[in-house]
Amino acid sequence: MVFSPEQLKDLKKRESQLNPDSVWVKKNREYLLSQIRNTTTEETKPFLQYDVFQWVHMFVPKMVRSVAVKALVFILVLSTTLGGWAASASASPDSPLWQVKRATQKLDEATSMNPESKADARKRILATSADEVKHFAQKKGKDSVQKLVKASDHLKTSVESVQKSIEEVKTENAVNLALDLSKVTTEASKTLKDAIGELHSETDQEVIDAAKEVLITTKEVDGKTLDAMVSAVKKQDKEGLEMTEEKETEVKNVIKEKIAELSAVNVEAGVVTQQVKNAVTENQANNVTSTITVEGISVTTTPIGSSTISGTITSTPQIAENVNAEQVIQIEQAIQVVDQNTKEITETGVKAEALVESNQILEALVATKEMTEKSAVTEAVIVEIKQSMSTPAVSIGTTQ
Amino acid sequence: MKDLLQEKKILYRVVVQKNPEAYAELYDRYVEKIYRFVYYKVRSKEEAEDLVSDIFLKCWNYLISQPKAGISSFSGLIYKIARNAIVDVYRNKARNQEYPLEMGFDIPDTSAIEKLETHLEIEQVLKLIQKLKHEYQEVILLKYVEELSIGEIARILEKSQTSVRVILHRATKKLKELANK
Repeated sequence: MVFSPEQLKDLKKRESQLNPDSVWVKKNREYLLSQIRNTTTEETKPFLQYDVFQWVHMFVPKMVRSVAVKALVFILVLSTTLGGWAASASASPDSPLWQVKRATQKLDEATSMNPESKADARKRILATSADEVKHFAQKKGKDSVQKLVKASDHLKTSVESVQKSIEEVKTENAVNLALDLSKVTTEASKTLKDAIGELHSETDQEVIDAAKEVLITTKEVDGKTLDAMVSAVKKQDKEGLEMTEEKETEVKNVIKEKIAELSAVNVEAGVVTQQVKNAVTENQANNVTSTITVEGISVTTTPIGSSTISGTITSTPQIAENVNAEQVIQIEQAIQVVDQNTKEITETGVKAEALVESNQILEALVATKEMTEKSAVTEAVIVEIKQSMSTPAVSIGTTQ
Repeated sequence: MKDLLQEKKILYRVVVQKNPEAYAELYDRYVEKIYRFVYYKVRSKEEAEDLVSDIFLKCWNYLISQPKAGISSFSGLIYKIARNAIVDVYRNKARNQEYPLEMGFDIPDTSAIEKLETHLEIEQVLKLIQKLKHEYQEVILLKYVEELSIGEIARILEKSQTSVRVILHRATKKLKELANK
């Protein structure tokens, strides 16, 4: 037996049984209509939305529908992203959009191809970080202090990025970039120092630790800014390019301001250590309880023989912690470190000023950097002295 | 294409307006096809008539009760309901005439098939087809009797076009083997 599909094509024509009886078809039609008419007694006007849904399903091919849905999702995601990006431009650091702003800026930096545009992107990140510092420095509360710690870290990272750019950009742009960096960090540094000053009145250990952390970061930011200036000037010298008079004056002013600021801190440190010294001497001479106030610290001393010195911070006079004789010795050692440092800072300051006047900018910058490092150590030791007077069993760091 | 568009318009009237007259138009278009499809499986005129009547009623009920189902093809729906109805009948009769599937397939050699002689008796062919498994029977019937395209068969059987081509190839090959015995 042989089979061909052609035979099957004729099947419906030739085989009468395969086709329905026309009378039955007609009768069944009537029956069907009578049945279905009974089911449509409640005729409700459908909603437009429903009409559209049915129309789309019937007339738009599945593939087109699928592509249209994907396109719609893409447009929605894109518009949400762009909307978020646009809104993030004016977001405050507390807003969730702030992270979008930071992410956008980082993306901008990552996608910048030439060193100049990368430097611009990094400058924008630096400005954002400075805004962040300013915002959290004005806020009160433990939570804000922790955020300030993070913000100062962001600032440090941003400074490091700009520092990198100084190495990458064209030589003639390096000094300008360093000066821009200096403007932002000087202001941010002042803001941070003011915030730390206010935090010294706090008694919460976490806040005190956070303040210490911010202080260290601030000093690092100052140091890195000077490093960046040194790199820019060195780069210019290496290429044998002359700095314009205007730029030279600007750089000199930055150095002079820095020297003045560091000298002021140095004088302040000298006063504090002198007052602490007096308190200790008085305690040893009189061997009686007495109270002195040293730059924001109220120190109550008792005879060493009884092994206690009570120290409190004036803004929170209720708190008085015992300080033992061993700690008094440590305080004295710390004072020696501070003494030595303040002396050296003064000398370096004089030297740096002289270098600026004689137009030896690079050397002046190096000397200022040295002053900054010593000043950082001095300030850290003073903070520890203050803490030691108010809290027992804290060893005073004398390392430089 | 024009016919398909016309059919979609009628379907739209049925689904959105619940229009019985529109449904009657669809009935006119499909009643013979569905009857043949059913009759071929049940081989009983009375049973086929009852089933077809039931299938069209079920289809109407589905269309008006499932407005959110998003029906895009009436043929796909009516054949699906017909297939389910036949399966129910088979299940009730507990009758299964499936034969094991032979593996392996190539591109269908239709020219070779067409070269075969065409004087086989219709009844014999039908008997041979009935020896095939249901899936093969369906594609043979839809392709060669109803002369539907691969795309339409794929939609009705809810399979991909490639899959339908493969099944058709196997079904034709199997049918030829049975005819040669």
